[in-house]
Amino acid sequence: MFPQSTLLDPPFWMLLGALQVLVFAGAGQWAKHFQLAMNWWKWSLVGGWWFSLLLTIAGAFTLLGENEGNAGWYFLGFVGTGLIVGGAILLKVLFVLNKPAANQS
Amino acid sequence: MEKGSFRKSVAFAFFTVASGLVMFSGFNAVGQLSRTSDNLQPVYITQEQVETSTEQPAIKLNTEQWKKLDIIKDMTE
Amino acid sequence: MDTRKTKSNNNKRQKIRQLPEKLAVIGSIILLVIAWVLGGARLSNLETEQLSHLLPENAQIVTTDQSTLKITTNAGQDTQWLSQGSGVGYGGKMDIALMIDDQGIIKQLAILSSRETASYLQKIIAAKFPEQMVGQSINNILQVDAISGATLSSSAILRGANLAAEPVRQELMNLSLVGSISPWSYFGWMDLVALLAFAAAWQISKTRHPQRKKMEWGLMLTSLVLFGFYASALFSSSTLGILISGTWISGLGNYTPLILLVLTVVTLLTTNKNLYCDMICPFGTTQQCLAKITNPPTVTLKHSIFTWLPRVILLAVLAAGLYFRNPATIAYEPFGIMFGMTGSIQLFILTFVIILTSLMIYRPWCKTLCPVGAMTDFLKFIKAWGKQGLKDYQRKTKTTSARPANNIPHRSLS
Repeated sequence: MFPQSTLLDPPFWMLLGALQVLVFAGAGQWAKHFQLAMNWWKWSLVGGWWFSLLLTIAGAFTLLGENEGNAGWYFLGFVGTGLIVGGAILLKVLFVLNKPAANQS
Repeated sequence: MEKGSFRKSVAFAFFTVASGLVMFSGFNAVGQLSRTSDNLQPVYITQEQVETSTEQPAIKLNTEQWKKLDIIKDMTE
Repeated sequence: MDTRKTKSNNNKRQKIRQLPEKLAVIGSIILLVIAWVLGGARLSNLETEQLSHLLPENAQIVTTDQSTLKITTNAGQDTQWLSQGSGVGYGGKMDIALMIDDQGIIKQLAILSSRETASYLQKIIAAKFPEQMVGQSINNILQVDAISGATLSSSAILRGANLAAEPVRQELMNLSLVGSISPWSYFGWMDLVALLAFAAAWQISKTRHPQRKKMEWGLMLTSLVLFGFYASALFSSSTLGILISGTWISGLGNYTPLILLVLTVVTLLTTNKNLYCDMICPFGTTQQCLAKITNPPTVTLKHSIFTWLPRVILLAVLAAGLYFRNPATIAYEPFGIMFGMTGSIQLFILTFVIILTSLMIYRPWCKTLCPVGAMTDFLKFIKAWGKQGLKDYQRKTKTTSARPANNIPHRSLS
């Protein structure tokens, strides 16, 4: 974010990394609240989705920054929308997979 | 009850945004079509011809100018 | 006697309450006719101007044909040919003009008129499709690879150019290369599929079979793949414009959207059901698939502006299409983007907005701005009005014929 500065850049990325930990810790709490019975592959799916979202936003704005206005917006529009729909599907799948477990217990 | 009003506001916002986009797109298209008749849009001309000619594009040209013509560009330009 | 009076009073009240709708119906038809007439006047002025601008200065027209001019300049030393031909694209006829020199080389190409949707034409021009024909000799049939995503428009321009070159070919080289295309060749198997889809929808709508839901979904998903992603053959306000303006009479590149529209109107008027919206429309299916993920509710906005604005927009678009004789250019639906990735930036944004909103509201586009909804309301109202009028007329003739019988006592006791 601050490639020219040796003072600001490392703390920025350390802060961003710490925020990721907070995000996943928060997600864990939400999962517990909704009783989602998460396991390792569910977490990898969620993680994959989250990082795809970050990459999409980063990529789109990089393109915008590189003066590729049209490409940036279309990238954000297509891939972003696809990811949001994918996220909704993922959430639904998690809830659906949870139901039979809840019925059993 | 709260969820219902949230969805109602989403619906309202969607309607506003969508109508705006639709009307904007429509105005653009109509603008393009009406400009067509003024610029005699269908006839293609080179940038060079526009620059060298002192008249409006697509007005009568002599044979030399016709022979120099290549095909051109964006009709919306 | 009293009940009859209250009934007729209620009837009167209902009729007066429907007055705005009746006025709107009549007003719309009048507006469309006016747009049509004014458009005709505009068009004839335009064509004369265009032709006068294509002719070079000091030109002498030696021979004149309906569509071919032999032009000599420089006291007869330079001869060129200006010829016109037309091809049939997505939105209707496209007129092409060629300037051909004495050796049969194409010097200039102009697209005189187009009824294609703007983004498709711009795609072709950006890909320099017309340029490739300039410099070709008309000795052979002009060949250029069509632009993918705009094949109908590309082949229309190509055919128009070849037809324009034909009379010059015959004059210069005694060649005749272009065969005639019968209008039936424009019909394809997709048109048959359209008929079958409607037949299936009609059957499903009548059945009480336990698997009915599954059958509906089956038809919807098949439609999504065939009419949506494969052929992008949904009908829109531009198809409606094409239908009422009669441009389809001179030929269309693709009849499927028109057939879908006509079948929708026919089933609507005969059965009062909109089978297209319920079970066939690919965009409706898309929204419904998205709704399957989150199960959103249907939200109805009550104010009259939410009912009337879509109607006004449709009317404005149809009137403009008639005036400019160009119904395909003013399409405002997101179907082109969803299934063909072609359209203006505003429609791209609209498509994304609709997709995201479909996760929160059931079928948002269908319930708000879709022109098919406005068209359905219009047709249903006209049908009801017609029926009402017919009933009133029948009632009047019944009472007038019955009256003399009431006045004359039939039974006498003597």
